[in-house]
Amino acid sequence: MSAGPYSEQTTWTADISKMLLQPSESVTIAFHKISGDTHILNFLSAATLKILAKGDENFATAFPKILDEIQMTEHDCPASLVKRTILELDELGLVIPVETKA
Amino acid sequence: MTDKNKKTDLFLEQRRDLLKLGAAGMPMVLTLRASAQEAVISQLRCTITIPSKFKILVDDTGAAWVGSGKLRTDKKTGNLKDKDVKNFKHDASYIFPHDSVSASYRPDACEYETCDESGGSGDHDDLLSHLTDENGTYAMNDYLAGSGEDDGHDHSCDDDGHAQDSHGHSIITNAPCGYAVYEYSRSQIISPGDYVTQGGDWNLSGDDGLYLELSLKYIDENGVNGHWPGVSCVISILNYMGH
Repeated sequence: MSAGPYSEQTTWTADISKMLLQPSESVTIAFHKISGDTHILNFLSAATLKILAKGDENFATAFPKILDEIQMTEHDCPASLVKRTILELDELGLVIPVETKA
Repeated sequence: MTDKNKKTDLFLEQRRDLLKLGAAGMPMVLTLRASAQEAVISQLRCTITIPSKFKILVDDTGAAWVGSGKLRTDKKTGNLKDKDVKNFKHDASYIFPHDSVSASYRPDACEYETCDESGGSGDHDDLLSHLTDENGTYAMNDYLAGSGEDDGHDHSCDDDGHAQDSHGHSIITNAPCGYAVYEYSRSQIISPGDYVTQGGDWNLSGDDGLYLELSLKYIDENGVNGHWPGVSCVISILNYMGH
């Protein structure tokens, strides 16, 4: 697990090969094989994990893709909430910062 | 409106309600620990991965510089090379002012012989202390008899006001002194939760403890909006601790 460093330019990724993901109607259950922890993701955190797992994204590039994935507008889902969700996933070791540019 | 449209509207409305809760601070992830016997304190379990090799230079005032520059030791004095120290400070990625670092991480202060403007060794500055003994009475004879600890050599001053010998070398009577260097390697993992007591306080020790000490200082100054590696992890723990 890792947390930080990050900035607006930090690119993030997620290695879902280390997880067992089980989507259900309203949540996705993620068993993290490394830590042995089980995480229950709501639709926003699940979508965030999915987008970051596809490739390196920073906050700015990930945000519109996540909105598209959850079919919500920025009015409903502010950028600050997406950012906080990424950091929350980072704290749990589900996503990691790849590169931080000055 | 068809039933299908009603369902879609309800579905989106439920999502919007959930996002409102998220915007209000509700976590977007719920974690169940590997062992059901343990309490769920995922905030304490984060770790910090050091992104690249760096050093922390600490002086005796508790100031600190964080960077990746060279810090070589002068073989003659056993101290860090002045030029390296100057360059390291100049190029430091992060600088912390005096009293940022606790005493246990600070080096001993250097005991330079001080210089006066006339180029002497500066012992005259201590004249009054030599004139007064432990009983508060004057002891001029002791001073004149040589207990003033003047070695009889004529010293000059360098640019920093430090005494120099006849070869121009700084005189350091307590070498090595002045700076302490702590090194951190790339991919080194720090587990802040290991330094949280059951009472919910920090109990910092070792090199990792210094890193966390500076992390807390950094958060005091910059909050969550910073580039300091691991800031989100430390803030997560601070939130757990109720700070």
